Amino acid sequence: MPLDLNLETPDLWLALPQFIVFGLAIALLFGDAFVARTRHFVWLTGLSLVGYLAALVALVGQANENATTFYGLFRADGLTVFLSVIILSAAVLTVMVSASYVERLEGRMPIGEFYVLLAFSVLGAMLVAAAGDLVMVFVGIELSSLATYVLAAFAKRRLTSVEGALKYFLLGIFASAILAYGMAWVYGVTGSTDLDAIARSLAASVGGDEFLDPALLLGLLLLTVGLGFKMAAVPFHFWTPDAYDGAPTPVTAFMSVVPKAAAFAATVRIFVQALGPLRDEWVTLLSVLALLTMAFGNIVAISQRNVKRMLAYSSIAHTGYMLVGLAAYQATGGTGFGAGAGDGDQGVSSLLYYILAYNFMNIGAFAVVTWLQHRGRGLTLDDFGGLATTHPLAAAAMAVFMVSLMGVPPLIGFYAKYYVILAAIDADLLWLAVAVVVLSAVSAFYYLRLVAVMYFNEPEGQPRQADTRLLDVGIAGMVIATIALGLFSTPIIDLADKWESALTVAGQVAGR
Amino acid sequence: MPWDVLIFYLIAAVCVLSAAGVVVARNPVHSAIFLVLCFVNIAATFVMMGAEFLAVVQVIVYTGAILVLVLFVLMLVNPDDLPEFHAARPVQRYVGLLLGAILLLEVGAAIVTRSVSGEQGTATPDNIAAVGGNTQALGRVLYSDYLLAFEVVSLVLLVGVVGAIVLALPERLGERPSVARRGSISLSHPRGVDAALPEGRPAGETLIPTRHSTSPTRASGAVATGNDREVSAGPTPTGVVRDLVMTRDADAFGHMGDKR
Repeated sequence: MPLDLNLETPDLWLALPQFIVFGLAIALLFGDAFVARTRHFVWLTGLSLVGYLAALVALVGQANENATTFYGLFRADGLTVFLSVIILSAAVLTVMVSASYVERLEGRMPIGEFYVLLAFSVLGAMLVAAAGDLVMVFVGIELSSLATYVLAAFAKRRLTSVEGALKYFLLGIFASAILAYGMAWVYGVTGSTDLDAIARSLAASVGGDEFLDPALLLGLLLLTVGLGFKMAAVPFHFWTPDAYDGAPTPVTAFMSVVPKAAAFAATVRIFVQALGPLRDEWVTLLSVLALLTMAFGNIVAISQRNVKRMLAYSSIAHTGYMLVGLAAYQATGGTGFGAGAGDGDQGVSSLLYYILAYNFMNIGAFAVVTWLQHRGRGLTLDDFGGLATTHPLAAAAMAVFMVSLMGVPPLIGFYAKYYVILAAIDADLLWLAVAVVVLSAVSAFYYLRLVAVMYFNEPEGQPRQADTRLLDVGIAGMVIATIALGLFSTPIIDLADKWESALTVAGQVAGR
Repeated sequence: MPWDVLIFYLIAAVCVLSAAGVVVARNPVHSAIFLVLCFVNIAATFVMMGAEFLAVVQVIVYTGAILVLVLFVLMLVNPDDLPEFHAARPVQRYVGLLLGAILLLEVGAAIVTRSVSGEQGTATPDNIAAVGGNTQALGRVLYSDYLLAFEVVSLVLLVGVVGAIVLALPERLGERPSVARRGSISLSHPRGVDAALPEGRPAGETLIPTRHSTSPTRASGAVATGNDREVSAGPTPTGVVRDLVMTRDADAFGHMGDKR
């Protein structure tokens, strides 16, 4: 009977990784209150690392899961698992990068609250990745964003931090409102908030060459604007440089990966899973956005003297590369690059692999900036002068990350771009593939300039001594991942191919 | 014309006009009062659609709680400290108008030509009446089908509380920022709030000296406020003014801190 109380118990085991992160956040709140302030650094950092690693282990058990629980709100499938792995590894790396920064720099920020907000932001992003319903997508994005706004303002004594966070907050809630408005239109047209039900309804009503319903088009445009804000695509990127520049550097590292991953998760869930029948329309939209974003990010990054701002514009450019992967989505069965793949879609797999690659190399780059801030260096290009003489290992790590962001084989950044380009060519988007190559060559200018400054300039001033063991381990881990995950990319792309299980319902109904 | 349509148009007209008043009014208090009017009229349209629970929530939560809070804040803040709302460049204003007009056209076109309609949902008037009314139907859906979303919203509120405490709580009781944080947020300011900074200083970290910070280490630009939460023994005197680090340039802050 309709509107009847739905009393069967949800399968909580399917949401085990999310519950672990939730438990971690609550445990951190209590730890913050009841552990002596002098022990916060060791205890809460350890607790965070253990919690995120436990959630990662719990995810392993779900690698082949494909089920829905919480009455359609929660999905455990290949897409959930892959995105959650990215988000959780970004969380582990952020904890390693931020621990000593939060504890010592910028007037000693409250580390307990920092970890609590970090955990909630991670939880929100994971819920977006696992969403099976528009409502869950929205609520997850809000949970993730709200915590990130506060993290961006965490250095509240520094006006640039507060200002960047305020811009991020105001534009972010504006984007959320637009997103909600777009969802309302889609709900109004299709009569459901459930992603699969929307796909079913659209497959029945949309088709042929007839003119697209304006109400649906309006919903699509509003959703694109809202999600474009969250992923920092041009022309919705205005908050990015100030927010990235102002936030404490480890938070910038986190902001550049996890909210972006959440935004792309939402885009895949909504556009591919729910609005799949409208593929032709949104693919055009996204390919234009991708070109604009790549071109703008790369060209403006050239003129930046501040390394954090340069990396902010570089992250905009990388959003563009990821959008190319999404624009290359083909609504045909047999996805992927791996064994047994047909001639179907490669776009979403390449996008997922790109986010994973970007996670390691971008957090790595910000980690080296953090490392230098511990040693009394600033953020301009000149502060990196002669780094190879004073700190050869840090310079080498930074060089690896820069070269990987540029996309040079055999590093992970090269394979990420390689898969995106393959997918674009396969989807007959040759012009986008050419744009990726050309703009990667443009990006070489500013990435290699930093490397040149580190290796050929003279160092100035005496470096300060600092003990940052956890950060050192994190940087080493990210260097290894940047090299190794590129060389052994086949199993990862196979895992990414499993995202297709998210389409089991929608794909069959759409009949494509 | 039937009465209910007439009443609907009356309510809608007042609603649209008061919404315009929110934007046009120069006095923020007037804006807030226009917003109250707008929300009450929206609640009236909810009643006309048979969603009486939403109407009551609209009045209690928006008009009752949130707008009273907004008015409180407006009363507490010195009007001179408020940013200038109408300082946008003409270009921004015209582009904004243009985009707004395009959006309006799109919404209009979408409403006029609406053709696609999906399956009818379960919340039909008959089904709502069967469970006893609007409120009961909403409660059933909220605590069963949308249970997870409902719980996650409570986490959003928790994050809001934690965030407010982190951002608003001073590091010691009784201290307050020594400089009023003024200035408007504008996308045309690429970095920093220059209006709040003294002119003519070199780029970099500038410590605004206060009455209580006369020790030589502080005057030399070092930030000694790092770990004195444990150092300060006994109750701190109220009214202590906290040093606020003003950096014109975010690059410069790398040299501060780390003074264990």
